[in-house]
Amino acid sequence: MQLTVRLILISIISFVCFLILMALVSATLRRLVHGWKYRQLDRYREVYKAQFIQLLQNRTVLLKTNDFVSSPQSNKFQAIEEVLLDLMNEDRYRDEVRTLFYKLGYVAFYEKKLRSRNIIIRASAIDKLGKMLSEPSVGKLIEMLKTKNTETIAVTVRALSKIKSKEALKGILDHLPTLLPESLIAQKAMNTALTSFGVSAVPPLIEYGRKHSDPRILSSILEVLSNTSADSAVCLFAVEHIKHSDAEIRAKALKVLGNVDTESIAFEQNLVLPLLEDPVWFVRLQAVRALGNLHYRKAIDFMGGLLLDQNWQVRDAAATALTKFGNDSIDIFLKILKYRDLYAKESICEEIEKTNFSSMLIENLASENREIHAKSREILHVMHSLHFSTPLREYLKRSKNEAIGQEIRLLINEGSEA
Amino acid sequence: MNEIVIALILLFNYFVGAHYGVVNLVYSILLTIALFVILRHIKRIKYSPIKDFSYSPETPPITLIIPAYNEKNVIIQTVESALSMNYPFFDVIIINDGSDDGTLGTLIKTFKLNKIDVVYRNILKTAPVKGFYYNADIPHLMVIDKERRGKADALNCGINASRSPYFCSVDADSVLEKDALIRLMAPVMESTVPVVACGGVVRILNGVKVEEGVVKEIELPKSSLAMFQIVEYLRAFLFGRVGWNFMDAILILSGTFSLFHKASVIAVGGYNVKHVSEDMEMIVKLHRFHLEHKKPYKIKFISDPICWSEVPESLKMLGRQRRRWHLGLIQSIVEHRRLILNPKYGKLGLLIFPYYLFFEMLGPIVELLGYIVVPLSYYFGLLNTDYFLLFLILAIFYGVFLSTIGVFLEEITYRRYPKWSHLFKLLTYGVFENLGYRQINSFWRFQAIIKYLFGRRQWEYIEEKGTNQNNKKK
Repeated sequence: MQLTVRLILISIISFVCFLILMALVSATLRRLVHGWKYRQLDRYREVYKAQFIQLLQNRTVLLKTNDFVSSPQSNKFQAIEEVLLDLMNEDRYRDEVRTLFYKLGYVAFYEKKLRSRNIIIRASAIDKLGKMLSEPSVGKLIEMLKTKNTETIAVTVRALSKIKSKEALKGILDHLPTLLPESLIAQKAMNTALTSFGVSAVPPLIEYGRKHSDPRILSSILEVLSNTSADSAVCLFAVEHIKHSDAEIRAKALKVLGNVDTESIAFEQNLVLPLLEDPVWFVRLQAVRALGNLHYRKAIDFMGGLLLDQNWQVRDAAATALTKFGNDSIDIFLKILKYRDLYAKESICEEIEKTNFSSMLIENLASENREIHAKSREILHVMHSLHFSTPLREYLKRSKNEAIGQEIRLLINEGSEA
Repeated sequence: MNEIVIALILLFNYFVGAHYGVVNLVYSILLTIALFVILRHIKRIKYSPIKDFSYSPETPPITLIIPAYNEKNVIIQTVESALSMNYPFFDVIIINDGSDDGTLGTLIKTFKLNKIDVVYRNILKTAPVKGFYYNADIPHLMVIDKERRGKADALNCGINASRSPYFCSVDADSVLEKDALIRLMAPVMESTVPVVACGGVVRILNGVKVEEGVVKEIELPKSSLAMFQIVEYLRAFLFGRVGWNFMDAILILSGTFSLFHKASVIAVGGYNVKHVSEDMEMIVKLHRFHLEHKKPYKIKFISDPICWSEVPESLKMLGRQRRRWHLGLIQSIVEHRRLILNPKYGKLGLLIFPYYLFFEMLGPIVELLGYIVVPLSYYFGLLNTDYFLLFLILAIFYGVFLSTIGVFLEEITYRRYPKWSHLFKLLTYGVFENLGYRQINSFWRFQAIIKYLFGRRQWEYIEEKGTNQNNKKK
């Protein structure tokens, strides 16, 4: 028995020693092999980059493709791929490089890998086809969206979004009803991919949005639209959804409307006003932001009400939005600053400072318009009494306008005496 | 009577053997998992979406919260590093936690900050805030000056001031790699289950050359103590955490560099100011909250976002750090003791907490007593010489094996230490780590248990920061 235990212990120790030795030898060998491999790759990259640039500039690269054909497992194959992917970033070479990938067998090689059972090999191939902007592979890539593997789906959606073709977008949209509701891809990842399709994706996205009522899909589409410049179709689509039963959809629709350029696109801005009283705080927040961005002056009084909102994010957003109206919002600020709600008053003062609205108020101290002058002075006085005096003190340090300086000194002294 | 004593000693020896066996079995499992997982992860990095996310309007804003207490020598390098992040929307908040070495003055002077008035919402109650400093030319930087109440309180203050849905805690003596933040956020964005916390790898800054907040050249430190810590960190991060993460059983994310979902942190009441190791306590609270409320969640560890951080180079300071870490572990386990073996908490109650209690928290007692009782047993002839020597050799060799594998994992994955001399030095220190350094560590952890029992549970502050010789001239 004792001998057996001893033998077991000696065997374990020997095995551990063997593993240590293996680790040491593998680490050393790996470093040697990699050193050699990367030196060769560096050399190849340098040589082929120079050659490709010259051929691409001469427009003769497609005639010389045979010179660059190599075995897929070789360092030459890898180096050429890296060089070409790098050159793909330059607009002037993109089309020819794309053809080169096809002619040199890269596309066929990676398309074959799509059949691999190994997720990593498959995902790498998908990623490569996306980076090579391989339009002929779109059909095969779309097939990948049918798998239930989240990793494969995420990489495929990204690859299709790089290719940016109509077919690629259609492929994603066709699968959206299963991908999002079944949580096969994160919403943020999907939105990032859809956004990268750019403006050309807007009409199909709107058309698609009209056909689907799933809140997750609508939310994604509105979010993507809010990241693109809003035209009249986008605007109309958003307006259609501002009364949606789902609060997230209402908020996203408002986010889209906040981007509308009202000088070129006309829409009923009045429609946004009722949403300032929405029961959900983030809808009110988006409504006030939208109206601020739209410079909808008729909304000033309504927006003023949100300066007293129970949610501080809404109060801050309201104050920020109102500062965008310049002197037109002075009255509403003055009105609220006379309330007793200290939190609301402080929110206003903070936003006035952060948005640099305080500079305008200070400049107004030299205004010939007596009403503007008096109101601006009063706001600055309240700010000073609430210890938001930094802009006044900074002005005194930096500015040379003696009249304004004199006013500020008076204001500060009044505060001290009070 | 003698026979009873002998029987007890023998029983204890068997217990030590069994304890040692289980601990190493767990390590072996973690190691095997890590080997597969990390190699796959390295391949996945090649098609990771970080480039797409770093330009995407969908990438959520993050606030980097950097608490600082007497960090005058290192704070500028840390802020420069934080400001140079490759991330679409982020801001940096430095909380000067009552420093008396001129940290605030250094920040004001370097970044030309002006005092401004900000509404401070004390959502997580903190010590009073004395002022806010800001420069309109660097709009994503703010410094908050507050009265001192420790790191947890400073982090809570940063959370109160943050306007982003996520925040990342960063130590004031750290340098982040440019892509660290986007690499940390990418899995959060890609996950279909909400990720409430996500940690990255901490590596040792000592010896590394840093210019304008960016790591320029990686060298190994001259201090042996720092070298031992490099090997230790490689082991802890590259196979310990990777293994636990695979099992969805992460209980510790380093406070030096971790990302959190702000609303979740606020929901659990923020950082606990009574704990000396606020990072572990936060993770435990997040686990507990989500399990009790049956909310889906994930806590992740990712091995490619890297933060370089300074480590102590003197035994005195290292001892303070290790005692604090262990004290924090004890505090968390004792406070959440109802989780232990409680099936309601699933893996957390049945696997992670018991492991941390029996092997991590009480491990130093068994280990130290083992160092005393086993040789004594041998001395008094209670242990067979052959067995004693064989166990001793096995213990040392297995320790060497674990350290070697840590270095090996680094070599086959990220290879941040490029020179041959780096590789051999690390391997050598991996061997010697098991002959003295490990035992001192156990002693410090044992001291922490004693301190806890005698009610001395205060934070032990580490001085001598900014010792990195390569960056001193800056």
